[in-house]
Amino acid sequence: MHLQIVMDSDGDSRHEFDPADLSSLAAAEARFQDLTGKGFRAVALGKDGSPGELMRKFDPLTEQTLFVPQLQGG
Amino acid sequence: MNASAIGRILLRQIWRRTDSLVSFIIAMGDNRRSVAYKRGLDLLKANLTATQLDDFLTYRRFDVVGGSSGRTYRIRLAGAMNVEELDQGRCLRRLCFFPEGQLVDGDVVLAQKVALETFEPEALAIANKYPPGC
Repeated sequence: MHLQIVMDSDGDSRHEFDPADLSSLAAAEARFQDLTGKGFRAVALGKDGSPGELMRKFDPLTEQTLFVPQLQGG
Repeated sequence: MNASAIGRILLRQIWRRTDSLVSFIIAMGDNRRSVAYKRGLDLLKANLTATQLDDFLTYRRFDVVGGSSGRTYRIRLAGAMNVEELDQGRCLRRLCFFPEGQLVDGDVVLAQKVALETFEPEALAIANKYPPGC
């Protein structure tokens, strides 16, 4: 199972999906499109804390995706 | 065991108890927020390298390398202007940027780490910059 982690006021919300299951995959892609459309940045997390990679489009092979809300200056 | 190692162990114990105390205080007013606070810290710790985790558990700060520039940044678990740009260990300037929404501390720090590592130019363009003495 692959995992999408969305940062939110509860800490985070986690959504697993099976890349071999078409409906599960479609839901994961829809979530990706919805969140990035709202300004979230999607990052493919690296192993053991190593730097990840910014995702410009949905990749069903990415095992763990972190969704970071839009940044703002303080 | 030398004095430095003992100091690191003591610092870790202090931070661990501080975390418990903060969670307890938050839970007194809002248990949901306390759970979120712990989840945020757990998510952060799960996404640090061994060196970053060691620094975080001891000093509540860790260093990251900018994905585009190769510059070093120090991120602290502490309020506003918690990101420093370093040059040979010296603070050049402080940066203030954070994700929108009512996120808990661990999430904010992880978002800053991920931003500097994977979309540094965007993060720097958004961040407000302050002199090191602020």
